[in-house]
Amino acid sequence: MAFPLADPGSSLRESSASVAGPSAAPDLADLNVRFGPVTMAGEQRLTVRDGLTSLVPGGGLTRGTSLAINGSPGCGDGATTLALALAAGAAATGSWVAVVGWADLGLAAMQDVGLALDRVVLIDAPPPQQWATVVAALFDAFDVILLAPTHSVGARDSRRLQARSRERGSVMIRLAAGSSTRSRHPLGSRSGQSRSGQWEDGADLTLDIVDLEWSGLGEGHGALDSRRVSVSVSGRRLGAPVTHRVWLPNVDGEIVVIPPEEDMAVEGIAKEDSDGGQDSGLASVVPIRALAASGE
Amino acid sequence: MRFLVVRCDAWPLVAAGCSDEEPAVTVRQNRVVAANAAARAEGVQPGVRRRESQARCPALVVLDEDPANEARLWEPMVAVLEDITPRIEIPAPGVVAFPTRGPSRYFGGDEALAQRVLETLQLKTPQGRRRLNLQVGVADGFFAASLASRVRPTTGSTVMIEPGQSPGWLAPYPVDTLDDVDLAAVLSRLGLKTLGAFAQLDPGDVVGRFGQAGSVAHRLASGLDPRPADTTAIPDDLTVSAEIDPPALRVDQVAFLGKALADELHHRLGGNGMACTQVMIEAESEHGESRRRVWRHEGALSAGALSDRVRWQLDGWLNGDAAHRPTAGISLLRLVPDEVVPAVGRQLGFWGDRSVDAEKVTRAVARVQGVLGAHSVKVPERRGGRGLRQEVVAVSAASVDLAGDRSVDQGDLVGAPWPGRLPSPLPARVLDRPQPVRVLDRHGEEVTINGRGEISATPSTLVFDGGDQAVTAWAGPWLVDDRWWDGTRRVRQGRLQVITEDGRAHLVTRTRQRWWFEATYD
Repeated sequence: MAFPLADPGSSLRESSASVAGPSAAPDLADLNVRFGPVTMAGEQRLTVRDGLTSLVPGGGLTRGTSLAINGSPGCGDGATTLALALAAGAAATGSWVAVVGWADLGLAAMQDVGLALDRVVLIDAPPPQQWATVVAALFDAFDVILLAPTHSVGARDSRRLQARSRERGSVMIRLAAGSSTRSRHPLGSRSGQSRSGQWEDGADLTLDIVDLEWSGLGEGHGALDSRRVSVSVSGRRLGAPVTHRVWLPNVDGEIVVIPPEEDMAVEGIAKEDSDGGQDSGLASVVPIRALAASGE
Repeated sequence: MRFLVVRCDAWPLVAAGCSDEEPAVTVRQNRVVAANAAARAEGVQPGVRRRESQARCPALVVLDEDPANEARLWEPMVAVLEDITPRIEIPAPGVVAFPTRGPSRYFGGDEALAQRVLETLQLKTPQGRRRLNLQVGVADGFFAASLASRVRPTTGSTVMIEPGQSPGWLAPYPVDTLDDVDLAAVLSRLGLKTLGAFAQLDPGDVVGRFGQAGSVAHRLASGLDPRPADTTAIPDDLTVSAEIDPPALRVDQVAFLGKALADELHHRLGGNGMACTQVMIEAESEHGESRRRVWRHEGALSAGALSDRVRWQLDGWLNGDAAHRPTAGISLLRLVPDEVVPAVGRQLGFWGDRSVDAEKVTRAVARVQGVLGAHSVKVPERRGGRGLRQEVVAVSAASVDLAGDRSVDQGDLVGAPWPGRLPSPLPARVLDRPQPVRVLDRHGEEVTINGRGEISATPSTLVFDGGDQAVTAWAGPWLVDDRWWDGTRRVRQGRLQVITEDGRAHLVTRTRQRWWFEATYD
């Protein structure tokens, strides 16, 4: 009995297909070439600064993805500076940057890093129950959203935000406490509560700051002038983690990835300098201390 | 059309609660937008840069502009004029305008009307003030009346331009009064320094050279209404309204809806090729009380400007004095375009001067403000200074035009060198309130800094409430002695950069005999 019930439109469709069919097929293929995306979604990227292109796969922040910077946010690993520097490239090309809930952000440092101030909007930390709503409202307009929640973000909220960021092509840069570091520090332990929230799921791309080293400051002389950090880059669909050395910043105030061969040279100078003692022209270098190794 | 314009001198400062005696100004983007009489006496005029105004008058009180508050406090003032005429327009907070034809005949002439308006308004003087500095201008056309209300007469507080005299009266005023900076600059370079000189040009030539905006300005300068009287009726379907169920009691609920309505109105007007220069906003409470206001704007009202006015009007009503407050929640909101003009379209700058992005950002910001409150969104602004928290400050996005070009309005002093400023790199984490910390030498004694800026011993340990950290490297102290001429606001501190045993760098300062944990180089 099912056969006679076939809807009356089917014959009509058949007939129209028989008329348009042969010519429609090549047309569609033609249209696909003409109107299909020129760049695939995965290739649409936000610019990052010249010096940092080798840090992120593809040389840019892939739209619709999330990036986590793990360190101890606010505790001096350089996670904040790195996040600002990554956003600076996009801001320089006209993207807007939203910063959600970083009460302690040093505004002058933002300018120091080279982030265009007139592209930045700062949003007070929303209460946990409204946090996801507020962040979701930002995806329409902001290409880069810097997040440092003070509460733990559940997998459900996180998935919702990820979906929305894919749809809108924004990039979430989120800061979270790394697993290895939990320091005895006023920012880390103030008023009993953890300063930085946790994310229950992973990001598409994860940058772990694994060690850092300042130079320029001596025993009662000099001034902080440059910092080198090691950033371990890992992520979905990427192979084994790759570690880069990054000036954050160097003595000229630039934030750049150090090419491996140059890194060796810098090590050499540092060694020579520390051998030569304080009288050499170069600023003395503070001993390297690998945070990951300290195992706190 | 003959207009009466009442203007309260330096209303933003009255609204902010400043007294007349102390010089005070409000600023937007580092420029003075309103100055009270005391400030003007010191040479601080609107348009001056913030730093320069402080240089001219060190005792100056500088406040950030707060249009919402200004509009909210102005609303009850306007409400009392409703007894005189129903056709009240509010061009801006602090200013009221209405056509004089009916009321003037009723009260027995323009003079009597002006007198009555002044008396009525003085009765409503906000608490804590003796009297308001009000001024009335009556003239043919809104522009002339508005200018007349701005001129300071030698006697009394009314400037009356007889019918038909407006063009002649306007002629000697400079072209700056047209409120179009770009046009005024071009005109004065062409040697047309007064409105009279500009008015003498042939209207056809003006349109040819300066387009629609120039034509409007030319009509204003000639003492005419900005547009020829338009008799085409406004299509009814342009009115947008929304019923609110359940009735809203809070301003932000209605304002959020107002935003949506404004967008819709804008969309409909745009569909008809029109823009709105005057709009009536009507709100009705569940008990049938209603409040309507006409808002006027020389240019066209954008969706954002419309929703701002909805917020201002409702703020004034819902949070106003108890006698006039609605007794129930707002159940209806209606926007009626009162005067529409053909949209001549603003040509967008070739290099994205007001880009689509900025509009989107403005909208997203408005949504967040709706959820978290108007002052929850801030934008960084350069101010200049030597303190960590002074160089760049966060100002509320509510007082900033996000789409505008904010980079140009930086004073000379913002970029000037500030000796004593912390050298780059700057700490990326600055505690909003410095935390107490102890800096000890290797014998466990507290390290001190003497009056000459010498440190007593080598710091070896930082003690926080969460534990202590050995100091591996340090430098300083660098002394900052800010405002040493001012006994109460003087800040004297010694700064110390330290690296602790975990390799991280921090900034600690010593002020008032104590050590403070100030910032971290994150």
